[in-house]
Amino acid sequence: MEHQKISTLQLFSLVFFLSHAFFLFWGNTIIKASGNDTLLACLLGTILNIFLIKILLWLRKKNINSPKIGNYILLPLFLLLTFVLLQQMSHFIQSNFLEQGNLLQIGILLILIAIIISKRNIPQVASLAFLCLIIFCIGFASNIIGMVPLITSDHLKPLLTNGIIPILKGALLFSFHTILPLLLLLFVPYHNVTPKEKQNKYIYFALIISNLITIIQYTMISFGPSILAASTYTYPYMLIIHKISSFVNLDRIGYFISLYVLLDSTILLGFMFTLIKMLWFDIHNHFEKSKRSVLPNH
Amino acid sequence: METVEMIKKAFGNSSDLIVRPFYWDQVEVTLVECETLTSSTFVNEYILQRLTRLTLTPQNKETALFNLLPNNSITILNDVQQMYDYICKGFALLVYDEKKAMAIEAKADLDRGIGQSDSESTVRGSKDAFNENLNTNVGLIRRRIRSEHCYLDSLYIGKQTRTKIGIMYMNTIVESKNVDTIKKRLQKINTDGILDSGVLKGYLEDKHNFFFPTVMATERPDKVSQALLEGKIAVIADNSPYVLLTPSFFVDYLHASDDYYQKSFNISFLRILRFLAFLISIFVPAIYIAVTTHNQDAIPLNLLLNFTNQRQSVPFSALVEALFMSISFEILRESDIRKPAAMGSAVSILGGLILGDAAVAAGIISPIMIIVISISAISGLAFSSMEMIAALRSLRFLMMVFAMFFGVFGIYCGGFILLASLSTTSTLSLPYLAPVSPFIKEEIGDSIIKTKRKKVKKRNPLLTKNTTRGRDV
Amino acid sequence: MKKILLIGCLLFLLSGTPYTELNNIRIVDTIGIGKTEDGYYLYIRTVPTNNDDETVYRVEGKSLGSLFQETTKLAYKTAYYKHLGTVIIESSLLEANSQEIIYFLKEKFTQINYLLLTTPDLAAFFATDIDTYDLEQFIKQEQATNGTIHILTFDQLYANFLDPLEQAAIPQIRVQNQEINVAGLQIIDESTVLNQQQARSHYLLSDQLTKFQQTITLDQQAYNLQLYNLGTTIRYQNNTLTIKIKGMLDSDDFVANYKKRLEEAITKQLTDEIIALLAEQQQEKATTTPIINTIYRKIRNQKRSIEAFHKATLIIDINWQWKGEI
Repeated sequence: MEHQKISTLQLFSLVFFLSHAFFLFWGNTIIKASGNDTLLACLLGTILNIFLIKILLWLRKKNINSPKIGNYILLPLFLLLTFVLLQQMSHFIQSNFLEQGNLLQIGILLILIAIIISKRNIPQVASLAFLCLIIFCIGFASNIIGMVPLITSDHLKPLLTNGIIPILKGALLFSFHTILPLLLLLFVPYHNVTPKEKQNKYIYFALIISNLITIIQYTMISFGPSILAASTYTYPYMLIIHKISSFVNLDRIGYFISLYVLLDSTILLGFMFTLIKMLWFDIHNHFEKSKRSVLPNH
Repeated sequence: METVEMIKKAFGNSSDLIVRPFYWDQVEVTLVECETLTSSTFVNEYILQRLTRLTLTPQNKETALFNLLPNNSITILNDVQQMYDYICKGFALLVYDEKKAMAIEAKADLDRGIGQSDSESTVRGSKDAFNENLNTNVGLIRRRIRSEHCYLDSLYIGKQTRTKIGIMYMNTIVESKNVDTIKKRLQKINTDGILDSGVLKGYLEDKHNFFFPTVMATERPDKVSQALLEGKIAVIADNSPYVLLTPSFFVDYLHASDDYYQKSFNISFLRILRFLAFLISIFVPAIYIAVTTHNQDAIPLNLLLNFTNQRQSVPFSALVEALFMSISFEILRESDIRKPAAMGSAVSILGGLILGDAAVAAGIISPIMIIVISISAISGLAFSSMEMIAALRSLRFLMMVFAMFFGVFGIYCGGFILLASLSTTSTLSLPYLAPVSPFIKEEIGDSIIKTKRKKVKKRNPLLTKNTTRGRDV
Repeated sequence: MKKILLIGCLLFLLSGTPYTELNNIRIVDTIGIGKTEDGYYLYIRTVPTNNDDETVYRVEGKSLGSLFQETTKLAYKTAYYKHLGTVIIESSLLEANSQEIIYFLKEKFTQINYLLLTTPDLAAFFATDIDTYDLEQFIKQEQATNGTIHILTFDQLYANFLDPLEQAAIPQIRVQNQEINVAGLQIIDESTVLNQQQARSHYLLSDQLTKFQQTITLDQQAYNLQLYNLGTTIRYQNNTLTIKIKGMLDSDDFVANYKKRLEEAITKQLTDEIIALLAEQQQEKATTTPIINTIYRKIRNQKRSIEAFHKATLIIDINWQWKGEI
């Protein structure tokens, strides 16, 4: 197919979603670690990310292909991560959208969607990511506009009252959450992106914008209910997402727009399925080759 | 003559095969024609009249016939198979020797003239439309593109029908590999007959395209001319008033023919409206089903109470109601297309009964369901392409099933399947969602939001290497 | 392979997700939770549809969880809580164990935006016909006229509840002769109820009160004053707490000669009310969040902020501007 190459905008959207994917399910760990100073921790984490991403981009440019033995380790690891992600997503969907639903059925439906997304490998996932980015922007913009009239500064507490250790903990956690999925970028070959020279710049942008959006989301959480209240909920972001309704003055329209929070984890799931497929075929081919070489020549 | 006997035998002594011998001293010339395909006035007035005035000898018969018959299309045939071909094309054959004949074009006018388009009406813009004659259709296009770079390549496809297929393109604009791909695909066709351009569509589309159409069929010459100037290729089939345009992208189905004849602001509004119609047609019944079954907290309380009161007398679930209404609407639409003219009003009355108050009063459906299905069906009809309407219909049913089983999350999954199918569809190996994904800045000013004419200076680089408009070669 | 996948998906899809039909749910509008000797009781008011006769139900149970389990069958239909409008807690329950109630409400009704109120007599409230819409209208009218009650949603209460420096409070209403009256502000875990004037001062200090009306009697003549555009700023510096209140005054009565006296009268009234409110504050916590937060932002230590609050010198500075005057 003509579009085997990924354009820089598609790479941008892919990186954006990969680094944002952990916010919804594991965002409250950072709130629990840093408490009031969550915003400072996120800012420090962003600065840390800028240094870490340089190493990642250098590794990517060197075009490291994992040795064949590495595939045998990576495949079960990816399967495990996918399972964890599926479990989190199913729990989230069941608690927010489908009370009487069965976790197994939701999981199977998610697997079906991931298989359909990953049918044509990485270029399709990247192209879908770009489309999802447009939808994400619309949802996020309406969320912010709906939230603005409800900002109160009643529960803002002063920063740095608990020392610097919670901030460092939060920063490391934040960095871990945002950089870890980007390690999967090592599987997107450097030469498959057009134009080649600009792709690093776009990856930087994507990471910084994704982190900024996460910081804005934490800010909204601290203005809406307080940070202290948010730390007792499993999905703190869902507390403010239903406030979209005040934007259009249409009661409860936020329910449908709120589906945009699932976009990043679905893209990550599709991407992981693509990689599992690629690794499986690699191992399969390697196995076939070694089997053939073992047989005696006729 | 033996040749004439062979022809008569090959045509099975058909009653519309006219065989009229003429005799001079040592020369015999036989007129062989298919009466139903040739114009008898022309044959009588121009061929037979002239022929009877000629004096033919064995030495001058070929030159005399060639020079003295007034026709711009005379071909000398040496092969019997060719003679069968030409007779079937409407040529009158003068067999003057064994295995030698002169074919004179004498086609009868069997088409209906140039009329208005039935399926693509516009407010502004030209009203002429293609008809079943390939030469007329090519003429309508050449009237608009008076350039020597507008090439027409011809093929004959179909063992029995030998339908003439024309491939038109602008040589200085189009990508030659696209033309080669189309020719290869058409040449691979091995069938008895091509009766309409619609049959060619299946061969021209890429494999693995499931829902959406990638080859557009149009009746309007101005649309075809516009497409040729963009770098697309037109495939014209004889006996078909629909010309195929390929490659066709998704945004092309949101465009109408008179988009280029109005202000860009108005056009942007209309295109956004069509895109909204696309979304409404697919999602509204599913949203209604999801909201009344799994996610009753997604709508305001007053609306929910309205729905509850309306659904009290209905014995079926929301999905069954929606399917019943949708299928009734589709049957009604189909009957409307196929009905004889005499039964027009009866069908309308019955349709109103099924889809109206009588069904509500009988307790089969709720009033809100009529509104929901009507809105989605009418939004679906905002597109002029039959394939797109069919795609919307299938997607609507898919979304309804997902919504019934999984509520709002099911609609989310269905939406993802829609996006995935859109991004894997390809047209002539080009991505279907261009210029949105991959982002093409030259073409984005003409996709959904239309920028001013002066600002759209470049052509789509996916379709052509010659991207600057208004330039000599 | 594809066919097996397709058949598998179809089989799985056909099993579907259970759901309750629209006609089999009772949409709950208001609930009231109260305490019996050995358990709890629950009042439920549902939204009436065409066929309904009864809309108020009473259920008893030993624990909060079992209470709500009983409601899964409300006259042969299921109770549906996602459109919950108001939760009313009995005053005695709030005094006794507020923590259990609040954590239960947080888990059970996540992401539902409902009002919170307390009342001493739940039965009297549910004997009336008042639903969430009426309550909202009542609160908005009271807010505009007397300023003694404001809308409190669960998010706000929960945030106040978790705040270590703050004493959360819920508005209290009473029902007399089928009509609602504002009683004041009930403090959680305490038997104290701030009266209407103290409640108003609380809202004033929190900068939530923007307008109210007050009738002042001067020389046996009553004048109706309208106060609006009220704004409060609080500053803490050098052990001094300064509360600055600004507002505009207007009156429909003829007040041309009494403006200064009216200003003094209203200033004195408000000052007395604020001092009375601050005197009520507990040793460890306070209901007036803005004050304690202002001090906390300066001192940055919870224990010392409370001490500073109790030791600080109070200065109340109120400025008025009459409408039409520059």
